Amino acid sequence: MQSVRSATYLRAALAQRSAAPSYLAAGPTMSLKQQTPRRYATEATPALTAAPEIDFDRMLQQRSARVVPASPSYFTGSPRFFDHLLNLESLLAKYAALPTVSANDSPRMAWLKLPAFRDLVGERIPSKKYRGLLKVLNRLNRIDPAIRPQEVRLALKEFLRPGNPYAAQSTTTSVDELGRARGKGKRKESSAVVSLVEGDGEVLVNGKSLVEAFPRVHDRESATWALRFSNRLDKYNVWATVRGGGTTGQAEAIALALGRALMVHEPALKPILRKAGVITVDPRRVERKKPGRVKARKAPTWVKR
Amino acid sequence: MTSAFCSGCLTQLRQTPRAILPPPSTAVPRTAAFHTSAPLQKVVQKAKASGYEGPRYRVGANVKIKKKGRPQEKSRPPPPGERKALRKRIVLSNPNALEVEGMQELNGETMVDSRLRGSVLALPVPMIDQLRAVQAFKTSQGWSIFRRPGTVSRRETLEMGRLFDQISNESAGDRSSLKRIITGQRKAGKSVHLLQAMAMGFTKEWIVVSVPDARDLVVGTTSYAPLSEAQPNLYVQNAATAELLSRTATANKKVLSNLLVSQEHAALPTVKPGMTLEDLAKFGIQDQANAWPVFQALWAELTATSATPGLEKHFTPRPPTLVTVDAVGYWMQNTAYHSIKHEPIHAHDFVFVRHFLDLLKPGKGKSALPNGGALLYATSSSNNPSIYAFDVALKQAAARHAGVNPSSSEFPLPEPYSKPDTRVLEALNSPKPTVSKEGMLNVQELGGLTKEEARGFLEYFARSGLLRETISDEWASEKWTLAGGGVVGELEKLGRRLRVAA
Amino acid sequence: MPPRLNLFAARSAVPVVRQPTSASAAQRYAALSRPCQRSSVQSVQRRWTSSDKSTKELAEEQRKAESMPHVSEEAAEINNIMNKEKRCDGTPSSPELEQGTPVSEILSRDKEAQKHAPKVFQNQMKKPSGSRSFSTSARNQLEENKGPMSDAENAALIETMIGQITEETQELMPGLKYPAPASIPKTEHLRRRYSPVIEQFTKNIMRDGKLAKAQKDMSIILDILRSAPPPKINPKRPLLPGPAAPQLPLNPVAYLTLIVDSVAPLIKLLHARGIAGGGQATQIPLALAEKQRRRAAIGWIIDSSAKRKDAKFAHRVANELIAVAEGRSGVWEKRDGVHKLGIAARVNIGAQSQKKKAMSMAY
Repeated sequence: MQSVRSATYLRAALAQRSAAPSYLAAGPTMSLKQQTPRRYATEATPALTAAPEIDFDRMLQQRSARVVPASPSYFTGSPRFFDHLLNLESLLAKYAALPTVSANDSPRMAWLKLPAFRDLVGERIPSKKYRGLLKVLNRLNRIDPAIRPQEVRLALKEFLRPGNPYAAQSTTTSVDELGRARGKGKRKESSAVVSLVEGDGEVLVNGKSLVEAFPRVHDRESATWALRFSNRLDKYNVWATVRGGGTTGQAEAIALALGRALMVHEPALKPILRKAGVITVDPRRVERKKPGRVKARKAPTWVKR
Repeated sequence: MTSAFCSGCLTQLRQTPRAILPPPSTAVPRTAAFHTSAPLQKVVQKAKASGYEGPRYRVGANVKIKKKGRPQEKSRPPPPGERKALRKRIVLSNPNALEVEGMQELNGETMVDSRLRGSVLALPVPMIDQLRAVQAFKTSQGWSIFRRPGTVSRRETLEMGRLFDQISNESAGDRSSLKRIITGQRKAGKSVHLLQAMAMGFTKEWIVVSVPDARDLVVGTTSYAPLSEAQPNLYVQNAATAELLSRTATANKKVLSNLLVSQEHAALPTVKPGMTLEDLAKFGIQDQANAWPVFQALWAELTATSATPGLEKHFTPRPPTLVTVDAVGYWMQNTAYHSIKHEPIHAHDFVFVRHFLDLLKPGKGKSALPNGGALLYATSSSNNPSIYAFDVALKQAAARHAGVNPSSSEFPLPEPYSKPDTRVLEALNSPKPTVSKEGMLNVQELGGLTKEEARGFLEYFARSGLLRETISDEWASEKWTLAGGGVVGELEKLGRRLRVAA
Repeated sequence: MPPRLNLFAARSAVPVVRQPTSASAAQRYAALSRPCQRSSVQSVQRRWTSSDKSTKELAEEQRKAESMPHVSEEAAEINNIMNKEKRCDGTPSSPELEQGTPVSEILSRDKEAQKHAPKVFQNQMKKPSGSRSFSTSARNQLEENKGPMSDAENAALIETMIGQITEETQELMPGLKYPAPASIPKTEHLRRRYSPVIEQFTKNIMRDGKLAKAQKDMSIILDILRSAPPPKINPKRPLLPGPAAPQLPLNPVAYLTLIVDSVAPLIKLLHARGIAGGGQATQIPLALAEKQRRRAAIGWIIDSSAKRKDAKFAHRVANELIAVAEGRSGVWEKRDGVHKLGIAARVNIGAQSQKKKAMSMAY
């Protein structure tokens, strides 16, 4: 008996919340009518309105003996998070049958990072739980954008980072009036800028020939890898400027820059350039030395007493 | 024999330069007169053993506990000389490599055949001993992976072949000569170019005189002595000269044994007219003290255009001469040898060096090489002294050959305050010769191979079974770029490179 | 007749590697010992790209190539090449490519050359109906069968070629300027460019993080492997099935792979304490993955090379590798020892898990 009642209550609560979550005074709203700007928990929130006076007679009539919280997630410890999650899951259940596109073709979305999300809900969410939420978000995002319901669209928008980091294109996407494509790349301490023009296989690095710049064959191969493996080494001329670091870093910085410049000339090469590993950034840098350590991690010799 | 120095000179002697003493007056010095090692020894100050020097930077004052490593096995070092022998060993054949069918040998026809451009010409087997004798092969060159040694026939080679052919075909006594300094970046094939020249010289039965490494004469490893009492500032290197004679005599045995002494040699009473030039050279090899006079006599014989009156029956026209010197840049600076006053001796004060550098200048009255021939001096780009004056001098020589007037503004001059070595500038100051057939000093820069030549060269690797790739134009062009524009030594590195099992 | 070579046909001299016996080995070494296959096509392709002349001119050129050029023609040609080069314009002709002759044709008319021809060729000439059919001979015969083409055929061929090229350019995807490579082998990745064994061996001989030096050593080792005499295989210690011993030096990477794989142990022994009780260690054999097996073998080879007298590290290792191939090395004993111990200790295989089970049941 009890369970049946709670189930019916839940349903009612869900419906109510989807209309307007009353307990979230400044929280995000899903209704079309009340489009309030998003606020964070750190901002001053207006005082919650007091609950109306309890009419015990009515309660006795309804035989509801205890106070029921508005949210079904009230006792979970992080109710706001679970409300979000339940909402998204119900959306997913509702629209699960809609056609989807592959993850690569779906629009790129910059979801809130974990600290920002914690700020938003004002609860300490473990990262694993947030990853679960992101999974649902990504699945919703895969619904074909052409027929995506407005409801889903709005729900997803809640979780976007302010601004659109992916909208800004730092690299140029077309060759200039002289037929040059430019690419930049970094590796270790080195940074390289490559100008790529169609030509017949001349490569100059800092104004020197490839042999003078890189005495090792391995480095020469690295630097020209993008052109080498795609059989284009005799079809382009390369002018590279590279600064900082050692020979390996310089060569691989050029490799990255060259791969990016080649993508400007021939965008359709991207998948195989990815496979050849020339447009994958190697973000590793030398780890800094820490106080109390001999190197980055090496501990001083431990001596008893 | 009298003392080379008077007693007045002896009083000038200081304590240290013991090694510069004149040869002992008693007998003919048969061994190396002296060695340089003593003055080179420096007093090495030992670091003072001091007490506590304070804490070192960012190192805790902790107890260092030595780890017990793996017990080091003490193996005896290889016997003396073995490492050097290994280092100097030249392997010219790899029996595993495939014989390249249809490979042409270098001979009179193929060396001028422009259709063979870009293909690899094998060196004839009998010639390999001659080339070994003149030390034409270097350890840094990749002979050891092919079935038999061969060199790629590139544009410069064919051009040189034609010139050699032309000189050989001219009538004796009226042959032209060629003077070149070969430069180029590292691994551009300068030494192999000299080797090709020597091979062509042997093909055409020229006399080949070669200094395989100019560095050996200036780094203080050979004995030296003042030339004579009259010229105390000139020095002679008898051991090195004897080696030169030995190389020349061995490599040119066939030619020299057919030529007879036809000049008077007052300095060498033992040399009789009518003996072969090979025997003459052997005098210098056996008696090192006489090596330099013997070399002078040999050179006089080789450059003779006619016999001394009375000795006509011994005279036959002399063949052209090829002189090659590798790493000539070492001769453009002070040597590691010291004079009597313990001042460094300039390379140009050695008669050996001076002789070969003087050949670059136009001869007085007659050509420096009256019987024709070629002077090919190559610079080196690895382990090379950087001499500003030499760089300028090379530019000047090129400008002079191009016809730029030395007083004009286009003529390259050294920077005003750079203090270039004037002797170097003077040594390469070779104006237009007055003798019509004598060539003017030119500077030839070796660049990379063309893409077609590079392809031919790489196909040679494939046909030897060393390169398991499909050779296409695209592929060859890719290697051409990776070799910095077809630098032949770099192409060789790429040809032997193994990344994956084919 | 002017000397004529065909560089493409001569590629058939690359030795045909014996078919491996077992199926799995065949699969593994198929990639290692694959001779080049497209070489005969390349000569044709080369002409496509370079020829923009009319067919008549081509036919004329071919006729010239067939006959000996006149002396003055030759001189003019030389002059042309030399002058052109100096002016740095135009590409010089490369005659050996345009006037190709199959090597077999040269051999058939030159008795002297027959004597010096490689054995494969000699055998082929002696008994053309031999039991072994080399892939190269088939290709050669194909080329011979073609014979000289008539002008009309030639023209038709060029027509189709031009058609194909124009088609190709039209077929290019948008966003491509030149045809993209159809498939990329695994070793065409920037970080995986060396074959796995080479990579692992190089990293294992690296000391103090000096990779460039290790790579230099590795190239010396491979050069020694390809110039040393072929190994005399000890029948008691055979290498894994693969190319025959005389063919190994010409493919040093396969040679090295074969050596390392042949002495790689299958198991290692885990010294587990606390199972037998009383502080005694129990030896538990563990199966190794391929990379682990190779690592063990490489480590042994490098260790035992330290006892050699050669002056250079690379020479020591290379000589040790050859000793392994010939069954003379102590590495074989090491591997046999491990295997023997492993077999003796195979009763312990379940020991650890049983112990755990027993512990969990006790609680």
